[in-house]
Amino acid sequence: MMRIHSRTIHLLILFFSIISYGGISYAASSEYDLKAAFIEKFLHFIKWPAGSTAYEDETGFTICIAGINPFKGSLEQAARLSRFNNNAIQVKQVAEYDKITDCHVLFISSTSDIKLKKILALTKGQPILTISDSPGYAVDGVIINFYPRNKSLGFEINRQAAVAAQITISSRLLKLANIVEPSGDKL
Amino acid sequence: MVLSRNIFMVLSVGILLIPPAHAETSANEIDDLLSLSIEELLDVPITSTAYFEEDWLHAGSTVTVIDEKDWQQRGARRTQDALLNQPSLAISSNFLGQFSTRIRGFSLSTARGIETLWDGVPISSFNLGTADVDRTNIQLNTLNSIEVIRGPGSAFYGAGAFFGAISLQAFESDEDLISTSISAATNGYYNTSAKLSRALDSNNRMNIAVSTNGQPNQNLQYDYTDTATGLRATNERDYKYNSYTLVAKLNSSPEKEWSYKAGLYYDYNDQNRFHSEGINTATSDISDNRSDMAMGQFSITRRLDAGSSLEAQAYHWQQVHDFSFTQPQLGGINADIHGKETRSAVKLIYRNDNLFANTRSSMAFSYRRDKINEARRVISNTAGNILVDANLPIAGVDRTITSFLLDNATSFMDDRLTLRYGLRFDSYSDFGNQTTPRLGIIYALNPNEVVKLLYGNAFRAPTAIEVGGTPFIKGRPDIKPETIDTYELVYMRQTSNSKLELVAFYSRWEDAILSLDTSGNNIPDTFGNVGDNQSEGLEASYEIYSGNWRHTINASYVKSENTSTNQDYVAFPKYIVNIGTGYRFDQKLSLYVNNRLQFKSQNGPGQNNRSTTSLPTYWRTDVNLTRKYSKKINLFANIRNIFNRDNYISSLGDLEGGLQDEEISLEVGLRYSD
Repeated sequence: MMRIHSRTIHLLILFFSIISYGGISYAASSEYDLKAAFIEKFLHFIKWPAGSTAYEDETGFTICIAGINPFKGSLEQAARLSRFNNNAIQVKQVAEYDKITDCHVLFISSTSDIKLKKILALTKGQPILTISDSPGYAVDGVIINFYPRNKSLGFEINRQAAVAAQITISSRLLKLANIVEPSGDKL
Repeated sequence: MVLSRNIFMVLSVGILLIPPAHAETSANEIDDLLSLSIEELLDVPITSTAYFEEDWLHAGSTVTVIDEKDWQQRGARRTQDALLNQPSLAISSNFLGQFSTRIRGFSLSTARGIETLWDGVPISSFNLGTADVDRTNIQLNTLNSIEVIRGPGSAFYGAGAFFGAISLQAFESDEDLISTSISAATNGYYNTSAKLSRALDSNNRMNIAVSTNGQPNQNLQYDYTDTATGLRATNERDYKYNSYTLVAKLNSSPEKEWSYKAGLYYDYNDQNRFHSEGINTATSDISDNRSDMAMGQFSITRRLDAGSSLEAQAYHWQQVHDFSFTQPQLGGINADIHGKETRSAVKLIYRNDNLFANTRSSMAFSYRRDKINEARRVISNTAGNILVDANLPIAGVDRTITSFLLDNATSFMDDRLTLRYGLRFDSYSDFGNQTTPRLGIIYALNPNEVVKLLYGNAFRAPTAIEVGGTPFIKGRPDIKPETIDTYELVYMRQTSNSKLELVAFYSRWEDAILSLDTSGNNIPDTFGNVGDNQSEGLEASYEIYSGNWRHTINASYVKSENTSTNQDYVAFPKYIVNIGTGYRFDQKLSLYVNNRLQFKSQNGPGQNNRSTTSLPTYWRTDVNLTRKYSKKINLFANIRNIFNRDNYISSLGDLEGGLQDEEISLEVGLRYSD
C-alpha cells in the first residue's frame, strides 16, 4: 500500500511541476496552419482578371480576414514565405466592410456568419477570391470553402461564384475540389 | 522503488528538456507545409480538436489509432501485424495455434484481460476470456481503423478490458466508393478484397466489405528436445490457413432527428498444423483450429435537442470453435474440443454535450447474457479408437451482467483544464456487484500541448473455465475477481505535422487469477487467486511529416513481476523499439521501411519454476514500395523480413526456444479505388 502511495505522490509532484513549467501563451492552431498553407497554394492556381490590382507592383497583393483572425500568425507566416507575381503578400484584418474591396483574397471567418450576406453583397462582381471554412458557405456564394474530410481537410468550390468574380480557377485545382452549386435563392 | 525513481527522473528531465510548442514552432511547420504540393496537403491529417469526436490530446486513456494507410505502409497482412508498431505491445504464441496480444507486461499463459471490440461490441469469449482465436483473422481489408487502448479500460469497455482494449472499426464511408485489392506472396500467401459504399437515397447508406486471405503449407521446421530420449530432434508445422470476413452495414444520416445503424458480421478461419500446447514439447506439438463467428447489431438514435441524444443498441453473436490437437503429456492421444457460445445484450445510452456547467456526459444502462451452449471433448488414441466422448464441465454455464456506466468531462479555465471522471457499476449473476472508478486530470499547457494524470481501476471476473475448469486444470467455484489499479502520467504535444507522447505508468494487480502447479510436477493443475503483481514502465512515441519524409519512432521499457514470488514476466520484451521511415519520391512513388526490435525477452512465461532461456534480439525489417499508376490504381510490393533474420517470439505455452517468426517473403499486389 505504501508503494502505491509513494508513486502516486511522485506522479502528482511531476504533474504539477509540468503544469507550472507550462505557463505558455496560446500558439497557432495546427488546423489553421494547414488552412494557411492551402490558401498560399491556391494563389498558384488562380488567375485574376487582366487589369486587376493583384498584378500591380505598387499596391501589392493583399489577403484580408473578415471577422476574428483564427490563424494566430500562421497565415502571416505563410505570406512572408511566399510571393505573388514577384510581389510581397500582406495580410490584414478588415473590421470595416468598405475596406473589403481592397482585398484580393478575403477569408471570411466563421464568426462572421450572420454578416455573410452583407459581405457577399459587397464583393459581388469584384475580383476577390472569397474563402471560408463554415458548412454551407460555398452554396451560399463563397468561392472556396474548407470542410473536414475524414481526418484531413478538403475544399469545395462554387464555380459560378468564381465566374461572377471574373476569377479563373485552374483545372488541376478543380479536380481536387468538391464542386458545389449555388443555392440561388439565399443571397 | 529505485527503478521507479529512475523512471520518474528520466521522465522529468525528458519533459523539461523539450522546448515548449509556442509560436516560434509555427514558422517551421508552415515552412514544411508550404513545401508540400496541394495534393499532398489533402493527405495531411488535421490535428485540431474541432474535427475529432474524441480528440487525441484530450482522450481519457492512452490511445493509439492505427489507420489503413499506416498498416498498408507496413505491409501488414493480418490484424496482429497491424498492431505491431506499438510501444508496450507484444505478440506471443499461445496454446492451440493462437497468437496473443500482451500490453505492458504480464505475459501469462492464461492470456486474458485484453478486450477486443468489433464495431463497439465486445467479442472476447466467455469461455476463453480472449478474442485471440477470432481477432487475428478478422480481415484488415474490412476495417477502417484499429484503436489500441493501453491500460485498463474496464470503466468504459467492461471487465474484459483489464490490461487494455483493441477496438476494430469496420469499414464504412460517408462518400460513394468502390475499391478492390488483390495480392500474392512468394510464400503462397494471397489476399483479395472488395469494398463498396453507396448512398441508397438522401438519407440511407449501405457499406459492404468482404475479404479473404490465407497461405498454403509452409513446411516450417522446429527443433525440440524429445522428452522420451532427451535428444534434440526436428519436426515440421504447416501453418496453413484460409480465412474470410464479411461485413454489411446500413445506416441513415446522423443529422436527422431519428437515425439508425444496422450491421451483419461474419468471420471464418480454418488453420492446420499450427503450434499446439508447447509444454513438454514433443513431435506432435501441432494443432488444428476451425472457428467462425456471426454477429448482428442494431442501434437507433433520437436527437433530443442540440447536443443531446438517446441511443438504444442491441447485439447478438455466436462463436463456434473446433480445436484438434495431440496431447504429448498423455502419450500422444488426440483431443478434439468443440465449443459454441453466444452473447446477447441491450444497451441504452444518453449523451449530453453540455449537461451542466461545461460538462459533457454520457450514461449507459446495459444488460448482457453470456452462455456456453456447447463444450464437448472427444479423446481418441493413436489407433483412432474413441476413449472419451463427453461434455466439458463448462457446458451450459451462463452469466448475466447488468451494468451502469457514467463518463463525464468537465472543463474549467476556458477549457484549459479538463476533469474526466466516471465509473462503471456491474452486477454479475455469479459474482455479485463490482464498481470500477476512473479519474483523469488533463491540463492544456497551450492548444498543442497537454499533460495528463490518469487513474483507472479495473476488475476481471473469472472466465467460465477458471470457474468450471478444463480436463487438466481444475476450476474453483470460490475464485474471486482480480483487480488492477493503474496510474499514468502523460505528456503530449501535437502540431500540424507532428505528434509526441511520453507516458510513465505503474500498475498494481491484486488477487491475480493464475493456473497453479499444486502437485509439484511443473504442470499447472488448478486455477486460483495468487498474490500480487506489478508493472511499471515508460513509453515514448514520435511521428513527424516533413517535406517528402515521414518518420515514426516509438519505444518502451516495461518491467512486470509477480511481487509475491519475485518472478518477472520474462516473456514480455523489456525493451521494444519501432522505427519507420517513409519517403515520397514524387506524386507516384513512395517507399516505407519499418523496423521492429525487441530486446530482453525469454522463450516462455516461466511460471511454476519452469526454466526459460533468453531469446536473441528480435529485429525485423519490412519494406513497402507503392507506385501510383493513376488516380484509381496503386501497385505495391512488400518485402517482409528483408534481411531474412532468424527471429523468435516468446511463447505463453513455453514452446522450447520460442516460436520462429516468418522468413523473407515478397508480396505484390494491386489496389483499385473509385
